[in-house]
Amino acid sequence: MNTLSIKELNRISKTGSSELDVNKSYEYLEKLNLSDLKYAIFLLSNETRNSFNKVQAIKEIVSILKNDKKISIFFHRLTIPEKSILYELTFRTQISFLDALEILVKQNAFSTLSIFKLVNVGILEKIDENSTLPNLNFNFKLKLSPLINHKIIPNISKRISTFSKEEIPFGECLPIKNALSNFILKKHSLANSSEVETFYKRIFENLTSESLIKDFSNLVSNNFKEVHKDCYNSWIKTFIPIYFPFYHPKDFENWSKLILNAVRNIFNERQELFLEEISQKTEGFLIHFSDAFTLNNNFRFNSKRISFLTKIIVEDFVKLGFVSINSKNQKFSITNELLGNYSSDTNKSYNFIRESIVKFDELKSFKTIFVSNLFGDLFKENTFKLNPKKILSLTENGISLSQIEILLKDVFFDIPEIFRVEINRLSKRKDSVRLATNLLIYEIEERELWKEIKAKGFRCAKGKFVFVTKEEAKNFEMKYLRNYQVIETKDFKPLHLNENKIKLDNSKSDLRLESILEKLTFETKTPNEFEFTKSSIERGKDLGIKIDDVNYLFSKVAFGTINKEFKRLILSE
Amino acid sequence: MNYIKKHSDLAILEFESSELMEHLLKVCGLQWLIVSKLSDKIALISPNNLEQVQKALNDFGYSLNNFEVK
Repeated sequence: MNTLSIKELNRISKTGSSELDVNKSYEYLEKLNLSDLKYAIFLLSNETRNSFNKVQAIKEIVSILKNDKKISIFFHRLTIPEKSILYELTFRTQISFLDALEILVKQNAFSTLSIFKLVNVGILEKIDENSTLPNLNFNFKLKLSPLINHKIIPNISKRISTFSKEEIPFGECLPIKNALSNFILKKHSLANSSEVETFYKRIFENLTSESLIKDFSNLVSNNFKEVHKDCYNSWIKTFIPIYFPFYHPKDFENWSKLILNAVRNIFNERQELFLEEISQKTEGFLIHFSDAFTLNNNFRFNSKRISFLTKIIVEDFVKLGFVSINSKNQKFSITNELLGNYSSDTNKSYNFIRESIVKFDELKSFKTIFVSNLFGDLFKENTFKLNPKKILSLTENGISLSQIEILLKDVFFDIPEIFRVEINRLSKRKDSVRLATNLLIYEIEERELWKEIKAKGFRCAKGKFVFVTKEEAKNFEMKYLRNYQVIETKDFKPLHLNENKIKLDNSKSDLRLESILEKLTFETKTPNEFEFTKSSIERGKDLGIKIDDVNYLFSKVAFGTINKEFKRLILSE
Repeated sequence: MNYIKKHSDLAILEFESSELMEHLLKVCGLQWLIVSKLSDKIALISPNNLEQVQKALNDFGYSLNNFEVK
């Protein structure tokens, strides 16, 4: 395979300065090896940004990527939602492949496994080397941590350690904002309105509460005022990802339902009731709201952010027309659209709601409500005792105890001592795996003898095993096994492991191995683990697996065994 | 004369709880390293795999404590 020099690559990228010779570039790119290809993508998508028809170029590049064996395997292994989002971002919007990946990683759209795959294929590392991920968010850091612990991406561990817990200010991510804007517009088929498009772009460019509210006001008056009932669902779908841009798109529907219910709970009451019970209703709203945050184990927002969002959302409901304000006297009324024919008393001002929401943040109960809902069953019911099962489920998802502590800090700013005590207590579980090497295992076939030994208080298991310390072994044998011949054996048969199951050594993965595995499987859902079945063997035979291939596969096995039957079947051909 | 097997080439991993065992087997890849599960809290490993087990646990923030059964 030809490898082009950096000089040549630069030349390729510069040829597109005015008129991109797509065919020419395609020819060049086709000759590149994987590493060069990634560099070419980098050049084309970054250094020459806006200097040629990037959309066309990126389409070509993605096309090449699709034809690249290794990358295609990567694509193949993405989940369907991941794949569809990636394609949508790359093909339907004017962003680069790398930008798309960056967005998806930041949006939490990729699973840890897929991030692993990104690293494995070399894409993620390349992104980082070229510093195109200047501000990885906290969630991304969470996802990377297990990988760093595995020393899979040691080079960026230093960078990760310097990341701030704070969210990335939107103003620092203009390309992402634009891309997201495009993505949202495409996603929700709102792109046909240039005004809407302009509006969203402005939101991303100047995302402050003031500008947002102003823009919303304009949007409502220009676009939604007359038809906002009809547009409401679309608006919710569109609005939510703007406020929560890192949220996984698949949850948009859930979000919209939750928020919509919350809105109805608050506003779909008579006005007096609403005013009297503002605190309770707001609390209810927050419960729904924080419930929403628990979806997908998303812990990104702290209470400050929640408060901010709550304020904005209520204000925006006003802007949307749920509540109208008399500009002269600043009095408000809940609109007929929301309450049917009810016309409200306007003695109380809109500011009352606003202040109530602001003050609500100061209520002592806020944090309790927020945390208990945010973390769900992280805490045992009605206590601040952490729930070990929840902890396990979190750690199963790659979140360590220290990260949980950070998350709690993120919520509480100053983590209460009681949590620290609990975390310390749970941390001691780190010592809860114990190894005994001074035990011998006796395999007693006679059930009665085993029962007799068990009754004497020896450690026993599975109806036939007895554990005895090496020190006690002689006496034990003398006392209980004197009528038996004790044979020291090394042929302990695994009781539960599937002999047909292997785990491959990731570091040894290569194209040939991938090709062999592809011949053996109908799909590669679990790329590093593989179970031989009759059908996989038949398939392998049909596709021409040879003994050389089998030996090659054997050399890549990290753990597990390959059924002899498999080898025999292949050899028999 | 009846025979009884004595396995002297195995070490025992004891987990604090069955949940922890299931969790670690699942997330640390220990299922590939252990020889067998003898109970919901006890697994057998080969001394040959000891280093890998230790590493797998360390990678996930757990430490392996040696203990002597008395």
